[in-house]
Amino acid sequence: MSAGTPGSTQSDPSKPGPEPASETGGLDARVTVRRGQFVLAVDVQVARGETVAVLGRSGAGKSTLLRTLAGLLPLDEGRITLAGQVLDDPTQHRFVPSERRPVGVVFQDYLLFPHLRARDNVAFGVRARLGQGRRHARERADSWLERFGIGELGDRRPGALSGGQSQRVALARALATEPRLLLLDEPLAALDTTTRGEVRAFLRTVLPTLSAPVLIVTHDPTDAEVLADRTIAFEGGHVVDTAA
Amino acid sequence: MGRTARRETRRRAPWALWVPGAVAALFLLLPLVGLLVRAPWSGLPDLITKHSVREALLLSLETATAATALSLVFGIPLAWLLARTRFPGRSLLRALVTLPLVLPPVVGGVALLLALGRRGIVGQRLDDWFGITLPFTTAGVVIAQTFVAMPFLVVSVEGALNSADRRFEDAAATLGAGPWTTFRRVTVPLVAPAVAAGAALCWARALGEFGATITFAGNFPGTTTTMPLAVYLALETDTDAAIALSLVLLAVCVAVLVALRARWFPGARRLLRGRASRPTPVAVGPEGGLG
Repeated sequence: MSAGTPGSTQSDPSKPGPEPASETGGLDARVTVRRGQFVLAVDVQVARGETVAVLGRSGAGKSTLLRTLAGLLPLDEGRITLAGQVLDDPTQHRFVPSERRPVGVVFQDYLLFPHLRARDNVAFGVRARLGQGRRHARERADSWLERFGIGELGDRRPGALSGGQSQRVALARALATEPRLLLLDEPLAALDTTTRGEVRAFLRTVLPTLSAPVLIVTHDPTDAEVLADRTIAFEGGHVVDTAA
Repeated sequence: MGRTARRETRRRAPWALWVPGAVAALFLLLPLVGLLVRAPWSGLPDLITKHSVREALLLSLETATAATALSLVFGIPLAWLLARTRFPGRSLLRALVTLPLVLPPVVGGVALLLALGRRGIVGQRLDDWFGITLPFTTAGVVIAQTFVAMPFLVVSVEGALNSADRRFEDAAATLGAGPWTTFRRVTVPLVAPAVAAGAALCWARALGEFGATITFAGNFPGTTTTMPLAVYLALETDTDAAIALSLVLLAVCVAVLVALRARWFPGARRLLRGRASRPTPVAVGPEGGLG
């Protein structure tokens, strides 16, 4: 999560090489999931510091991919490795459940806990994943909100936040757990056009500063273009195109 | 009727609906009006401050609260198991759990006696090993009330769990929360209104419980004579006292209804009214006949 110069530092580790991405802190996933007729079979690699967009229409299997990476859905075949750690491998009967994966997720409609204030939403993960006490977790949460320019909103409940503010709280909540992989599910889909531009600009400044690999799932080619270093296009459960 | 409905404006209800509807409303309200009209208002302060009445009221409030607490502690986990896990016989278990809702309470009392009575399959062990005797004790009252009232909580909470957005639990898991933390800090707070509604229904049902209580715990003033039992007892000797006791129960139930605010659970109000009318002599009658 060290701040770096966007553009220069991130391109180095993402250059294709013989070394698997996971050895150097990246994500290496060979994913096969069967759901009746539908088969999702894709390989995804994201290097440390790299942002990759997974682009496809709804039903293309993007969300299924995201759920396997987050540990909410086990693989039928394949293997997920993150920073050298095997997270899922059916042949080895290995499956690290979601709560023990160092993976942060920003969900499509944020899923901020409605009964908790913004601060406590962010502190939730700090307490649960990092095992911090309540006071310390709240301080951490406040500093994350501060960093994202919404320090004054800590006392608000999600119902009293705008779409753009909710997005920032959701990102703060995911990053506060110090994940080694960040997943963003349609980060702009729930926003109106004006807010979209604002949040897109915000993500564009934040994502390059992260050292963890970032995977964005989107149906919008513009979002993929603007936010990601590389795009993988999905259709019917298979990769149809990759573009730098 | 379809033709009539099409011609009518929204404000004019067809007579075929409002006439029986009005009859139903009158039918539900009339007994309560009768209670208020016949109430011995002048002697009321003396009647309800009598020692035996205070004793019965306190016992009722205590046992109903204890039964609600027991239902919360054991009923919420049961509701969670029914809603969130898959195991063989789950549908059957769900059906059996809700059985006390439709079972005549007196049958529940007999069943409790056979299970937890001194010679019952479990009760015998309790007596032999721990020296615990449940029938005809205050604890027995709580057990009888819990048996009859807990399904209200389980049904209410399970329904809410089934319709709750499971993705919040996914989100909690991705934030590092294990199943227990997720249950405590996400699932339960999300269904809190249903827990409150279920607890209120449960409490009201326990407060009005008659058949299972008198069968399993008997009718001993001070230890097992709850308000509904006291009403029934008084009706045979002193009608005025029975009316006064009924008024007290009615007042308690109305207070609960007001405190609950209809917006939380509009559907629950109907149920609550049905339960609230149970302690009145009219509703107790047939049960007493059975016991």
